[in-house]
Amino acid sequence: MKKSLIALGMTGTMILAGTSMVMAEDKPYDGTNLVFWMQAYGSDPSIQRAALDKVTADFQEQTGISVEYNIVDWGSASQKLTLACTGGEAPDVADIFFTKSLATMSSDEYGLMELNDLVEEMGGEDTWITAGKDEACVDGDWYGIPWRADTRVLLYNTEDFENAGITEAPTTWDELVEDAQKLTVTDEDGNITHAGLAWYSDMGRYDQTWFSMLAQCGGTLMNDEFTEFTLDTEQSKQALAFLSDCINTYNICSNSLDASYDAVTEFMSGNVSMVFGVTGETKNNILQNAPQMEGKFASAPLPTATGAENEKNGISFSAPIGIFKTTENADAAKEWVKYFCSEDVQLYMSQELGLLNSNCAVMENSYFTEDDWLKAFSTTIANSQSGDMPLTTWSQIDAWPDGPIPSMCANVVNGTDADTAIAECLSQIEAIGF
Amino acid sequence: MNAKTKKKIQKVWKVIWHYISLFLISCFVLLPYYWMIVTAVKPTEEVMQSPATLLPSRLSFTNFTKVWSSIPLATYMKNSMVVSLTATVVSVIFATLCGYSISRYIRKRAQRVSFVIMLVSQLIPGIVTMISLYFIMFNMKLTNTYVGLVIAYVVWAVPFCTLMIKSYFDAAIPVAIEESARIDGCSNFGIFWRVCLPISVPGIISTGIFAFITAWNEYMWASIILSKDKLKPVSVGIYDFIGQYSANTKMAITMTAGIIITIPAIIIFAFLQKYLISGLSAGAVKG
Amino acid sequence: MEQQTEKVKKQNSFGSILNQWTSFLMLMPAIASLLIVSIYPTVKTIWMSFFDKSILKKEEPFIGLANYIESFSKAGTWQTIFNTLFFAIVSLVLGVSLAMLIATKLIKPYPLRGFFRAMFLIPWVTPPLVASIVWRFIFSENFSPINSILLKLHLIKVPVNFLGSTATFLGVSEPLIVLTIINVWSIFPFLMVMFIAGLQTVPQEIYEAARMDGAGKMATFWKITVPCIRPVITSSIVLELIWQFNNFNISYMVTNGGPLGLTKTMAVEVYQAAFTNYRYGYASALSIIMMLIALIPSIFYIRSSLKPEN
Repeated sequence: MKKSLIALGMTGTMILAGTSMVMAEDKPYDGTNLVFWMQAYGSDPSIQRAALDKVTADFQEQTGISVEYNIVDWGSASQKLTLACTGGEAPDVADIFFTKSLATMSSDEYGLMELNDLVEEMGGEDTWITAGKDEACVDGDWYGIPWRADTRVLLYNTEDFENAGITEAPTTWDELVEDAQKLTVTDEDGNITHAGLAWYSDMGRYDQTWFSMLAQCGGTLMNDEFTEFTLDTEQSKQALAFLSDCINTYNICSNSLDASYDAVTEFMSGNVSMVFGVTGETKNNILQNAPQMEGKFASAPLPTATGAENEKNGISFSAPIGIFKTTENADAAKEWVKYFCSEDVQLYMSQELGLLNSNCAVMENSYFTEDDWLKAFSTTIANSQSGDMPLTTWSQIDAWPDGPIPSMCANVVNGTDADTAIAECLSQIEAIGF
Repeated sequence: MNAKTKKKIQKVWKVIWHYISLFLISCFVLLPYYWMIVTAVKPTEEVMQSPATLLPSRLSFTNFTKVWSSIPLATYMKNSMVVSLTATVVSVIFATLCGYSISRYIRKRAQRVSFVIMLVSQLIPGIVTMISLYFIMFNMKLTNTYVGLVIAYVVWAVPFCTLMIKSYFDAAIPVAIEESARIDGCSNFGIFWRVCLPISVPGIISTGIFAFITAWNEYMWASIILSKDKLKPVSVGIYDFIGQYSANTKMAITMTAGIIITIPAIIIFAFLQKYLISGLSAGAVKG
Repeated sequence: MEQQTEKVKKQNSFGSILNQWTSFLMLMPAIASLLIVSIYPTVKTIWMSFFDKSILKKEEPFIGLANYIESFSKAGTWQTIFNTLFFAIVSLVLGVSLAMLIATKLIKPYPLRGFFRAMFLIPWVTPPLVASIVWRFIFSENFSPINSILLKLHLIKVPVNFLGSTATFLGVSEPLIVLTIINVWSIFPFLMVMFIAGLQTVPQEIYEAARMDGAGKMATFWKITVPCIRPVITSSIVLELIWQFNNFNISYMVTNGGPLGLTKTMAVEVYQAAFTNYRYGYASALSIIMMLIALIPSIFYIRSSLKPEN
C-alpha cells in the first residue's frame, strides 16, 4: 500500500517534471508579467472585462505570460498615452490612437517601439485595410499592429420606409434626398418635426459626414503622399455644398450643434428615419437602449454622388496596438500583440465588443459577410480610404469642436460660402503646420 | 378684533409664503435629481422617447441591480471613501496647525508670508501645473497610489481650510484663555494642544467637511494619475459608461450610478450640516 | 547633583528654543507641502511660458513673450476671456443672490429648517461629472423635460435647442447662459452655508432696535445685515470669484467649449492647448494670463486681510 503510494507519488513527480520541461521549452517567457491598456468599448463595461479575462487566460495557458489589463476611459486616454510617450507611467502594451503624434513625441528612451519585424511576421501590410497602414505606419516604419476598425454606413428605419413606399435603400445622392423628403415631416412654419435624415454628427461634428461625402463624389482630403490638403477642389466644394444643402435647401435634416445631440438616440426615439454614417457598434447600442426598435432597422452602404463606382468611396478608421520602449520584456510583449491581433482573437473581440476589424481576413469571415446588419460594413470597408490623416497635428486640425476642419464644415452649414471657408481652413491648417 | 385678525392673516400668509418660496427654489435644486431618478427607473424603451415623458409609465429597477455588475461600483465607492477620509484627516491636521499659528502670530513675518501664500495659491489654474506635478509624483513612484491622490487633495484643500480655521481661532477662542495657561508655565504647543484644541471641535468639523467635499468631487487629477481600475474613485469611475464619442448611450445606467454615489454624501451631510454651520458661524464674525 | 542641573538646564534651553520656534514649525507641514505641490509647479509654468515648448518638437527655444503676443493677437482668446468673465461674474452674482435669499429664509426657526438646509447642500456633494451629464440631458433638444413641459403647455412649437444655438445677445451665446445657470446650481450651496453661518452671528437685538425705529425690510437688510456679515461675505465672494474664474468642469464636461467655441472658458482653452495641441509653452502662457487676471480682485482682498486690526 505504502509502496504503491510512493510509486504513484514518484510517477506524479516525474510527470510534473516532464511537463515543466516541456513548458520550459515551449514557453520561454513563462512567468513574465505584462501590463496592457485598452480603451473602453462595447455596450456594457462588464462584457469587455469578461472578454479580456478570457483572452488573457487563454494566452497565459499557452505561453505562461500573465497579462494584467486596465481599461482606460476615453476622458483620459489621450493624456495617459501622451504622458506614457514623454516619460510618464507607461504600460508594456497599449491600445493607441493618433499614432503619428505619439511616434513623433517619442524619444530614444520613451514612447512607441518600431514593430516592422512583427508586421512582416504577421503577413505584411496587405494583411490589413488601407486605413490600418495609414494609421500605424509613420514614414515607412510601423509603430503598431492594426486591430479595431470602423467605417460609416447608412442606418434606416424599415417601418418608416415601408410606410413611405420606399422599397430600397438609396444608392445616389438624388435618391437620398428624394427618400428623405418623403420621410420628413414639417409643421406649418416649416420646422422639421420628424427628420428624414440625420448626420451621425454627435455634438455637431460635421467633419466626418463631410469626409464620407467627399469620398462619395470621388475626392480625397489629401494627396496620396499626405503632403498637401486638397480642399480647394471641385469634389471638395461639391461635398460641402451637399452637406449644407441637405440642411438649408432640401430641409431634410436638422442643423444641430447641440452638445447633447446624438443622431442615433434621435433614431431610437423615432425622430429620425435615416442616419448617415453610423458605426458597427450602433446595432448593439439600439438594441440595448431601445428594445422596441428590434426588427425595425437595417443598414446599407452609403449612397455615392452619382451611383458611379468610385474607387475608395467609403471612409474607414483603424487603431493599432503598440508596444512601449520602456517595456522590460519586449519579446513577451510582441508575443502578446501577435496573439491579441491574430485572426481568431480579433474575430472574438469583434463579436464581443461589436467592433469591426482592420484585418482583411477577419472582415471576410462569414460573421461579417453573412450578417444582415454587418454585411454593409464589410462591403464598405473593402473599398474605403482613410478617414484620419496620418499627420502629427491631425488631432489639432480635426479637433472638435473648433479645429479648422470641423469649423469649416460648421461655417458652411451656417451660411459662409465655400470658398471663404476653405481659404480660412487652409490658412488655419497652415498656421498649425503638418 | 379686526386689527387682530388682520395681523393673524398676515402671519399665516407669511408662513405660507415662506414655504412656497422654499418649494420653488427646491424645484430648481432638485431638478437634476428628479431627472436622474426618473431616468433610472423608466422602462428601457421609454428612456429615449421624445418628447420625454415626465414620469415613468411603470417602474423598472433592473438598472439598480445591473449597475453593480456592470462596473466595480462598490470598489470605486470604497476608494473614494478611503481617499477622501484620509485627505480630510491630513488636511485638518495641517490646516489646524497652520491656521492657529497664523491666527496667534500674525504680526510675525513668516506668518504673514504664509497667509499670502495661502491666498495666492488659490489663483493657480490647475491644468498646466498638473503636468509638472504628475512628473514629480511619477518620479516619487506615487502614481497609481492612494498617497498620490491624498497629497494633491490635501494641498488643494489646505489653503481654504487654513483660512477657515484661522478665522475660527480669531473669533471663537479668546486669547485670554491662553494667557492664564501661559502664566501656569505651559509651552506654546501645550497651549494649542491642551487648551485651544479641545474647545475648537466645531470649527475643526466644518473645516473637515470642506476638505472631504473637495476630495470627493475631484476628477481631473485622479483621472490622470490612476491607470489601475481597482484604484479609481467614483468621480472618475462614472466615466466607464462614456464611449469614444461621449454619446449619451448608456443614460439610464449612468443615472443609476449617479444616484447611488450621491447617497452616501447626502447621508453624511444630513448628519453633519448642523456642525458645519455652527463651526463656520463661530468663525464668521471676522472674515 | 551638579551634573543633573546642568542637564536640566540644557534640556530647558533646548525646550525653550523649540518653544520659540513652535509657531514657525506649526506652519511648516502646510506651507512646505504647498510649496512643493502648488507653488513649485507654478514657478515652472511661468518659466515654461517663455519657451516654445511642444512635445512634438525636439528643441524648445526661448522665445520671450511670443506666446503671450500670440494669445493676445488671436480673436478667439478675447472671446474666451470674455466668456470666462461673463461665466464667473454672472454665476457669482446669481449664486450670491440665491444663496442670500435662502440663507435669510433658513435663519428663522421655522419647522423643517434642518431638512431644507441639508437638501440645499446636495449639489455641493454631487460629483461634477455626474451633475454635468444629467444637466446636459436636461438641456438636450429632444429629451429635455423642460421642452416636454413647454410643448405640453403650447408655449413653444419646436423644442428649444438650449445647448446648440449659436445666436448671441451682446456677445453672449445662449449655451453660455445655460452653462451659467448650471454653475449657479453647483456653487450656491457653499455660499449659502457661509451666509447662514454669518447671519447666525448677528445679534437679534439689533433687528429689534431697527424695527423700533421703523426701518423697512430692505433698509434693515442693507443697513444692518450686510455690514454685520461683511467680513464673511467678502472672503467667500472673493474666493468664489477666483474659483469660478478658474472653473474647468462645467464648460469642459457639458459642452467641451462648443458650439463653435461660444462657451469655451480659459481653463478649457488651456487644457486644449496642452493636451490636444501638445503646446505646453503656449498653454503655460495662457495659464499665467489667467492668474494675472484673477490677481486683480485678490490684491484688494489680501491687503485688507493683512491690515493689523483685522
